[in-house]
Amino acid sequence: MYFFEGPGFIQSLDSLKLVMKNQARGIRFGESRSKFFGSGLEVSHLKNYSTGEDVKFIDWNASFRLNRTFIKVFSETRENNVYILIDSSASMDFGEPETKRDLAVKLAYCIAYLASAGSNKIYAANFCDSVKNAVEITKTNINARFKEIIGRAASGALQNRPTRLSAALNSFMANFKRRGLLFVISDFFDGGLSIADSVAKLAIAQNFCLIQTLSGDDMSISDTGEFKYEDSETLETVEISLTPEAAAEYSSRVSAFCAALMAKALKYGGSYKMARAGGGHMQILKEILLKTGFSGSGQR
Amino acid sequence: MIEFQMISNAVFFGAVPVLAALYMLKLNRRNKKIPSVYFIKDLVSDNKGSSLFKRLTSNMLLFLEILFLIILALALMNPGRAGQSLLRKKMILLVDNSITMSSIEAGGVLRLSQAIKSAEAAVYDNPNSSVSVIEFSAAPKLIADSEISRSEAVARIRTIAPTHLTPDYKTAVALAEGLCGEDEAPEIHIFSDFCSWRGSGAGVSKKTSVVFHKAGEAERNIGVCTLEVSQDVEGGGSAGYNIFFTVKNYCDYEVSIPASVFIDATRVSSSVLTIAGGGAESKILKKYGSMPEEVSVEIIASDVLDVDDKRVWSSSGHKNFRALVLSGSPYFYKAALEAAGADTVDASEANIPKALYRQREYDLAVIDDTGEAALLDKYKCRSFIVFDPPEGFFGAFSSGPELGVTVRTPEFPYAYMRAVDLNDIYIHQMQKAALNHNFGQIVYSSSAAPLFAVVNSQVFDIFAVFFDPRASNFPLKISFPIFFSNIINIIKSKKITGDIFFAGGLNYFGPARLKPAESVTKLRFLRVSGGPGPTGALPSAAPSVYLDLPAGAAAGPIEAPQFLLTGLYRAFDASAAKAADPLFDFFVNPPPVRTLSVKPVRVSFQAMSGGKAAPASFESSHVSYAAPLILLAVLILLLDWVYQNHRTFYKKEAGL
Repeated sequence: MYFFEGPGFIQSLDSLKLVMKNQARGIRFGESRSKFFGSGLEVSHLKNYSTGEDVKFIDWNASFRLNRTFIKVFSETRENNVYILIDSSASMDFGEPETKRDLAVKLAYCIAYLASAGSNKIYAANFCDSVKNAVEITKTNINARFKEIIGRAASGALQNRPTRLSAALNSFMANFKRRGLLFVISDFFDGGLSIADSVAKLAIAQNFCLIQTLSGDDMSISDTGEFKYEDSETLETVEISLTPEAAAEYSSRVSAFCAALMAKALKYGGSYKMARAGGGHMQILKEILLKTGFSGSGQR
Repeated sequence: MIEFQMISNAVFFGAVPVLAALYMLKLNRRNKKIPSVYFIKDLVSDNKGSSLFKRLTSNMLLFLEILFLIILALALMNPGRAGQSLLRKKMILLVDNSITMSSIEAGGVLRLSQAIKSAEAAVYDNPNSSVSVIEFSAAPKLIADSEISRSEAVARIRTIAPTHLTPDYKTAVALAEGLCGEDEAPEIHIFSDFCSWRGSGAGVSKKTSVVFHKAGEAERNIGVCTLEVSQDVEGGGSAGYNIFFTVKNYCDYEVSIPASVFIDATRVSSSVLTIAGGGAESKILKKYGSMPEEVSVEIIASDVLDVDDKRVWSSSGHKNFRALVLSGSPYFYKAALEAAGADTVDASEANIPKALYRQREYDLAVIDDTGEAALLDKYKCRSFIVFDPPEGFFGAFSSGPELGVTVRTPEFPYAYMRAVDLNDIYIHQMQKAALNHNFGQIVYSSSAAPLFAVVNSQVFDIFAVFFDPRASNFPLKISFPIFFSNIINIIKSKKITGDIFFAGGLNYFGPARLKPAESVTKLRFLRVSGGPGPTGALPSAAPSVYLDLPAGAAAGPIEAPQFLLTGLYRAFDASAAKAADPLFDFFVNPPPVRTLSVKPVRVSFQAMSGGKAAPASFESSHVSYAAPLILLAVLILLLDWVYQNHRTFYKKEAGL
């Protein structure tokens, strides 16, 4: 049984809503504000009445107050593009009892579900060194699509490939040129930590939110002694004598990396959220929706 | 100082703990898969320098085991302290007090003082041994034999003063070995800097063991090694003089040092000489005017060996040897004089009044002129060779002609006749002279006719030849220039000695020096200044502190005591009260020619020919620390065991 088939999972999402503040660039009518004017519900501004225009849009209150005839101009609401990239590399398999991959998929599902409720165009994809098998998600096919995504990740087809964030984002931007809101869910551990360099490029093409999923072992090392560490992706080995001082130094370096990533994301207008595996996805989701400034909560 | 006997063990056993540590650390390592090694790699590269130490500190057991192995390896190398033993031995201490031991070490300590301290320590470190002490430089001297008490031996060691002589290791070691008895275990301890040990040829027999105690660390040494003052005779006149000096740097590196030249106690030149390591810098100063009385060169440095820091040249006259020939046919005399070593030879000329020659300064005048031979007291010159003197010359008179004169005895024991061969001399005709007490060192012919003689005069040095060389075969013989050469050398040595003194050499006080002391019968010398070493009364190294003056000493050179230290000396009237004014001062220079290195050398047992095998000598002259080290290693092993069991017990109790 998949997590989204569990009792109360979908119901718990009904109390949340994804509100996107960015101007929608979609073609079809939707719920997000766009820069286009025309038939909508929200008055954008007033303009002088010209002969021939539909009198039903005349703002009578303003016209009487100013002794001139004004007509209401409405802004159109259109569909928004939402992209969700889920890291499928081997490094996502760590974390007890919940792996980083589990958390990433859960968060991706929730975001996709909330986005689909607002009649947006949603694409989700796994990535390692490139973005492949992107699928379009709608209200009706969300469960089926996520079953595919989870199946692909579990099959190990992607796991032999190391994370290459920079390359993956380049391939994404080449394939998805329409501007939208991009969620990247990953631990951002790749050989060169290249995400920091790609953020600036990413900010030009998309509005983005970086969700860093980390397990407890990623953040700190509790062991001391002689260790031979093997990289889960590159299989590279490193020998080290771990002392409490070295462990503390490790934690501080990881924290420094996370802080640098957040600073970079905020600098380029994006947002960042760290998600600890095993910490509960709902709380993290709420924080993403609230803190990152995309949303508000409320009944649909 | 700790020494190791079995150094070869270190190669094998020293490597064991290192290999063991690395192997055990390798075994201890656990494998673990992690998402990314990026941060770990970063950490490892930052902590690489101290990683082994960190590994050891986090693993107490391993640390103890490695410590155990290291101490065991150290014990197997058999460490020990040299020169310390509780055995009953016969120790002969050789203390070097040669010139290089006057070097000043860091902190202003004399190298000799360090050697004396080590020698004292050796006496105290061997409480059951008998001690003999030999001080040595050019000649070794036994200053304490094995009969005297240990405290007395230490007291005598403390009296050893530096000298400015070069060391003779071979003789010193030979003397020490001569003192070694048959029945006792002899041991020679040499306290020296061993600067000139290499090539000394010192050796001992196989039963003797030798311990080398190196003294000193300082390698710096700079010295004035040459000072010459020569008259500039360019253009024929005495226009001036040249001062030539050389400063040698015995160090391995470049040194800049100020050097000053003083003429008659006035500084005339100061310059900084930059001298490459092992090199020398020379300088020539040209000065105008008459020759100076005294020239000295000083280098100024606080931390150099100051035996060589000052060199003095002094003179009462010209340095060049000038000779005059007064003769009707002077040229063959002139050629002989020039061949004999006279620098300038003037020959009288017929149209120049002879009175002019009389007033000139010459070192030697050759008179072959009947009239002039009677007027010697009118000459400024004080040394003469008079050929065929006239009747009445110092009371000598002629007793008739002699024909066909020969000599039966070929050699004569007089300095002026040294190497002069009269074996086949033939004099065709001469006047046989009858000599009185004014003449001495007379060379007679077969017929008892005096041929050569020296005039006994307090004022003059006169050598008389009682025949006309032109009526003999003497000028044709090779002995003729030798005869001149002998006389020139005698005059030269009289002129020079008494003016320049060298440490360790044979020196003379000239008549000029002794003139103020004419009424004094005994002189007392004090060393006033001049670097390390005692000042005041002459040290024990000097054979004589007092000098007895014979009657009429001012007339000729008197042999001075041997001065072993350079510096300024002062002569006093020994009979006068202590506060009396000094009679004269003189400066004793370092030995004239010397290549001196003051770099201390570490000498090993192998450097000596003969001697006991090294381990045997080591055992007899060292206290070994191997046993306590092995005990310490066992203790550490015990601690390791206790720690291991305690930890296991603690874990069991805690249910871990």
